[in-house]
Amino acid sequence: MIRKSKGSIGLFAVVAFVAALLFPMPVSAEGESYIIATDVTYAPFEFQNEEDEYVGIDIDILEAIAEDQGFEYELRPMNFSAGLQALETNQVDGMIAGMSITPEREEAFDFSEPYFDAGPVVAVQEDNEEIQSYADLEGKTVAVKVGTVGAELAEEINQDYPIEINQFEDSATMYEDVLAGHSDAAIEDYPVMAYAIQQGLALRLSTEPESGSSYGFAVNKEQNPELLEMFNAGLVNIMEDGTYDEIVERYLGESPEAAANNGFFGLLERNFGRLMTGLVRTLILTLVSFAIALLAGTIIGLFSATPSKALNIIADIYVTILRGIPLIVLAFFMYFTVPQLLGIQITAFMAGVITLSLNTTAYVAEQVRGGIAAVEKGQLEAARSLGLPYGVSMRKVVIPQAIKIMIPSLINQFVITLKDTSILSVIGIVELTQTGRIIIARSYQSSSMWIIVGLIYLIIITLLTKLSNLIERRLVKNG
Amino acid sequence: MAKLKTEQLKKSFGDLEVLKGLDLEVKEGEIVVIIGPSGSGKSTFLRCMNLLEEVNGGKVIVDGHDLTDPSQNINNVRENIGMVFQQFNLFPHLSVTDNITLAPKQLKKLSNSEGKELSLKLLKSVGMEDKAEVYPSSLSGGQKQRVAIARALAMDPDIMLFDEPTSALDPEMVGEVLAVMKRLAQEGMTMVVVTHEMGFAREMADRVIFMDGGYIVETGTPEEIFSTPKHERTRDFLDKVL
Repeated sequence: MIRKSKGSIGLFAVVAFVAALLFPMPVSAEGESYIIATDVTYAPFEFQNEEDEYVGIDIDILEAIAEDQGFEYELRPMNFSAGLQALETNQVDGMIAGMSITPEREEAFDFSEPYFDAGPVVAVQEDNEEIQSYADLEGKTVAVKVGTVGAELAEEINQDYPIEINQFEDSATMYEDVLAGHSDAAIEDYPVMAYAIQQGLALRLSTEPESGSSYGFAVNKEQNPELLEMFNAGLVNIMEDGTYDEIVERYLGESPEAAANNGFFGLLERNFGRLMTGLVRTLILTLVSFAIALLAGTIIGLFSATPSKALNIIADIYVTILRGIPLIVLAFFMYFTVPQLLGIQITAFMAGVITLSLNTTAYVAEQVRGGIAAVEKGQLEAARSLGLPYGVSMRKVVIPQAIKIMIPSLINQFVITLKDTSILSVIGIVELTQTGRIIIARSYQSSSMWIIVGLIYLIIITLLTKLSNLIERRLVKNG
Repeated sequence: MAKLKTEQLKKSFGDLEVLKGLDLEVKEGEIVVIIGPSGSGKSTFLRCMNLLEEVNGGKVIVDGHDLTDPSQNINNVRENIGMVFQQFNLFPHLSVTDNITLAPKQLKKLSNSEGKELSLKLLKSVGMEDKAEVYPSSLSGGQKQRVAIARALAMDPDIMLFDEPTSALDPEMVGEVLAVMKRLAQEGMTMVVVTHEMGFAREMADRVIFMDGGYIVETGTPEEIFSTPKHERTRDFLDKVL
């Protein structure tokens, strides 16, 4: 019964704080390793190749500059908008993600000299002849990526020719939306779009690229000025010695090898190891979070079962707050807001575990409360009438019976928690769902990939459920 | 000295006062049977005697210890008061032996073999020695109640409280439970019994208490209560149940 006097907000902070103490992240100092955010899927600027290495124009430029300038860095791929938040909240030191330098962004960040010129362009389905200009988009649906220059262009088009705008978190999903016919067109930076089409994506460019947009490397306002200086100096050097041209040629040259496209089983075979790694991460996230939630949930659940009004209220507040916050909001809060408030850095995995544990704890607590309430009142009375203290009576008589009642709903909660891990991909945890996204970004085979990912979830959940039912039957046998 | 004594005992559920100041003294070895219509407060009265119900006024004194004194360790006193419930309240997740030995093992640190020995002795006394290892779900109602009595005896109490011990039983099983209670009475156990079994009251009670409306209406020997009741209400009640 620790911390029973603290409110749940306090518990929140304490958990986050303890987590930070247990798993400290080195904050970069001079000569140390910088943490650089990049997008998860933005070929040809950043994407995972078949060997699971992050490659692309951004990645190779960063690598060349780091080598030239002699600094170390650690790459942190996450969704573009999450990357912006991470940079703003000093979770990362810099960001290179095909990011256009815009006046708005310059208010929040300091940019390097531009390292690539690219403007947004409109793309439509290959056989779509109807859309040839912005004017043709009037009344159509246009897919854009959250927070990009393409999204800004869509807004501008909307001023002259009203359109419907669909917002997406990553490029691959945006392309799929057009291919599936939900959106009529997508707006994307020209080199990215051109590369994808070259790789076999069934879209075509329907307008000339806009000009005047340049990519830059960003640091948070007035943070890491030395990093920015090194980037600029290194950029000049690699442009002079020809490394820069080599890199661009590597990805946008005449004949990049086309993406292998050999069907469902080929896709599965080529990516099996990767998917299993994602699955293992999903399972670790689930098991760790669920174990914590079982412990904490039991304590909170017991709080609501005790005769103490104060403990009842603490439990009630905890459950009300944590059940009332969507998991995705809680994940952003844990990863961006809490570390900033406490002035610490935590890994996405830690934030993910904390998020999932806090959330699951609320549900487990409710099940514990319900389970205890379902045990007949006479059981506790009989135990107490024998002279057994309250704690012993609960432990030896009430809780064993409550557990049997709770098992089916706990199994159910375990399955929900396992599936909820997929939501944590938003803060950049490469679990099973995110693994699927990354593969799609490279292979442009989304329909097959989602079937594969869905089947893996289905199989693993079915197996785990069967296993749990077996355990349940064994436990309930003596009842 | 009284083994168990209540002084001006009061109990309310919300605004409803169910016990309105009850005085009772039970002497060592005495068998007191409480009768009365449903809702008269007799079960609540019994449950106040080991403080399963919190009391709102008055005192409960057992062996000189005032249970209503907040500094009194209630668990120690309860070890000395066995209680048998209408619904048996056996622990369904424990075997018959484990039901009986749970409290002695926890509170007297009995070893496994000592526990087995104790459980067998108690089960023999209620005629259930062949059911030591089964779970309660496989027992009949009468068997369950006999095990519950054995469990209540496991801490070697001086006082036994019976809360309508035969009311949930099929009629053919009432006899076996009453037989066990009679033997206990003959062995000199101090007993307070709430029951509708007038036969048991007449045969075994040293004193019968008639309760109605939260008051003790009449107290006397079985002879006095059953043959020459003084109060109108007692007569009405007995006319209905006899």
